[in-house]
Amino acid sequence: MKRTDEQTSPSDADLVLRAQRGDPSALAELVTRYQDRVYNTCYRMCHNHADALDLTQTTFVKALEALPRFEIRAKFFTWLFRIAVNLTLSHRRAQSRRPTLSLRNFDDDEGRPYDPPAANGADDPARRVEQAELHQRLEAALEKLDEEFRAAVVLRDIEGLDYAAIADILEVRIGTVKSRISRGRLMLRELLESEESQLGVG
Amino acid sequence: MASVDKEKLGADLSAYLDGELSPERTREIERLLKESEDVRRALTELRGVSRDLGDLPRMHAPAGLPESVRRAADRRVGPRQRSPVGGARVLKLFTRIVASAAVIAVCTFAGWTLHDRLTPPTFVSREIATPENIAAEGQGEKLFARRSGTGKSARSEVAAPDAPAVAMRNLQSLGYIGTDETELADLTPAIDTLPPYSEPMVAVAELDLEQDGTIRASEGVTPAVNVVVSPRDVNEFNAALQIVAALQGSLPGATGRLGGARFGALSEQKGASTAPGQREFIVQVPPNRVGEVLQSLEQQAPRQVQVAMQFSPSDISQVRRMMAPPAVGQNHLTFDEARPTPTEAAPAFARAETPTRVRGGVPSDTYAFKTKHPTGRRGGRGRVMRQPSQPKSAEQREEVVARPSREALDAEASRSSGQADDSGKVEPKYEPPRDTKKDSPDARCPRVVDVAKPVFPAIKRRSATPAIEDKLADERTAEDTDTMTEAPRAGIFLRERTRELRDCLDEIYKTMLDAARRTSSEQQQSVTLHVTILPPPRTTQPAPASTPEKP
Repeated sequence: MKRTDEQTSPSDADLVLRAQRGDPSALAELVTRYQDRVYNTCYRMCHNHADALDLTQTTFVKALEALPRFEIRAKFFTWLFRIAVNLTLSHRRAQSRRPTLSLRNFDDDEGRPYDPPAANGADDPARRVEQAELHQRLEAALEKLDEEFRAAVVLRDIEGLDYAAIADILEVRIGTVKSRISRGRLMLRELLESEESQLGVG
Repeated sequence: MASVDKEKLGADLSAYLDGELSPERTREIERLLKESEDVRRALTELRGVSRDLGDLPRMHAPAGLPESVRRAADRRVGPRQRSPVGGARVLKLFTRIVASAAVIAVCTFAGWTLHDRLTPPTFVSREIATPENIAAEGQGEKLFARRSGTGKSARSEVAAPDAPAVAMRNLQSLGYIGTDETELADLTPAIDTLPPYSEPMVAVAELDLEQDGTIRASEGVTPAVNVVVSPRDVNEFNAALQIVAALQGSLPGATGRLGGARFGALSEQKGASTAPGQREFIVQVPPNRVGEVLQSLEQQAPRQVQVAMQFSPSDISQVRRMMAPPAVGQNHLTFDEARPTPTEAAPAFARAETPTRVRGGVPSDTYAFKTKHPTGRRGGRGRVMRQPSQPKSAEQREEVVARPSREALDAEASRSSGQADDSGKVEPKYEPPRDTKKDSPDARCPRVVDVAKPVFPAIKRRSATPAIEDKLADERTAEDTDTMTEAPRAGIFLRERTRELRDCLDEIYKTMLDAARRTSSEQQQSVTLHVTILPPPRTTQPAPASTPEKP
């Protein structure tokens, strides 16, 4: 089945080529194909749905404006993510210069559908509560990371990109990516441990 | 040196976890893993963090993102007629892209929402849609049309042959009075005792606030919009009813477009507490159309529409989104982030300790803040906003909006020595802090000003009586030079009634919808509008029925 899907769905390069020739359906397919991933990445980096929505929208607008100049040999995906990440980092920097009143995102999924947790014990209420708490602590810890580490960790562990793609997106060397991911994970681990010790969580 | 090695080992372990090490280094790491318990533990910890991150729920883009992208692209490119070649190309591509994207999105989301967004209904009648006009339009003019893909107004809707009778019957079932003002004499005299609700267009946002003024994320506040229309004459009354009728779909040509399941459900409320001749309705409207409905009402009864919004923002960014200017250089919404203490706050905003009752609305125990129209004109004597406790209508206002707390009243009284009374003296002004934190419009949320298209349903307003028209003209002149003299602690001003208003409102209700989703396990697809249309005052000199007014 998967094989069939791969055969029937056109590649990014095909879609970009068609879009550059003026095929609106190709453009639509590109937006639809990546909107969730871009949105998720922006959200995980800025931890705010409204901002993530703005950033996602701006990302696509910028990308589509620049699409005629896009070189087909480049990877559309990494190019799109580079725009998104740069926009998000700029946004975060601007935000840090103008600290805003932040409220606890007690339930910040805004009702949007999301992939349910894995089936392992998902029916167990206790397990679900535990998992929700873990997610909450993890998100809080993620928010405390420096921007550069968070971006690398998000792209790797949440979006599942390889180091080369992350290096392309962040426009740094692979060694830097490796270092940032490692340090980001360690910092997260320390933050979680610190919080657990404060809460007395075993 | 040891720390450097440790850091390098940590990086290599992380890369090993990701399968990003060279074969040689992979073998070295595997050897270390066999030899060292510490290395194994470090790897386990890294793997746990990585796995937990991967297990975070994935957020999905909102339903309207392709449409938002299209709008944003439109805005960037600018008006179509002034687009450069390159921009025009992008715009052209985008106009098409969203049409295509809509097809894809429809597979996932409710089709009617996207369909309406893509092709909002446009009212093309040049006249007010009275049953008489409907009768005439049945022969020639068409009532409703949908914007076509080519941009021209399609006149595809022809009223049915029995349209006049149907329209009249339906309108009368809603309380349509008719165009002859002499018919008002038949109404109960109680109308005369009901003071005209002359509150101008204001927005009242009810926010859940903590004692220190910060927004409290709370559950259970159902987003609702309470609209009170107080027509000054029968024309405005009828026109407001027609808007409701259009929502219901009881006007020929509107059925299936504006009413029914596709646009909004309507139910008429008849309560014992309502004044004779007063009509109350509950309308379920998709959040992206609320602004159009409100603006349509406002067009028909300028400055006679009061809007109270009730929602529970759980994030300050939601409020900020509302504050974002809809167009370059224009900011119609202000929000006092400083949130001065109650003693510093404008007295017009009273903290409601008792449950707030909004007419036709949902009881709320949230703090309520009442604003007035920035012009605050009263008797043509000034532009200072007045206290809520105006003569005659004070009780009504309290009932409708908020009941000030005793503390607030006391605090207000203690300051009253410097305040104006009805003699026209100026109250101590509370200057709202300048909002220097506005983001550039481009960076903000999706909002489009569709400059080429009329709003729905752009029923051309029939001229009111000359006195009313003169008053409106005066107010428009005054508004040009108006400044706000009081600021809300956590309120929202809507200062314009232009098409930007629609976009502001749309954005507000989208945000409200977000809040609704936050507090509900189900996806709420509509916003509840409580529409109250007050009866018009009886005119002392009814206009002759034989002299129809010209638009």
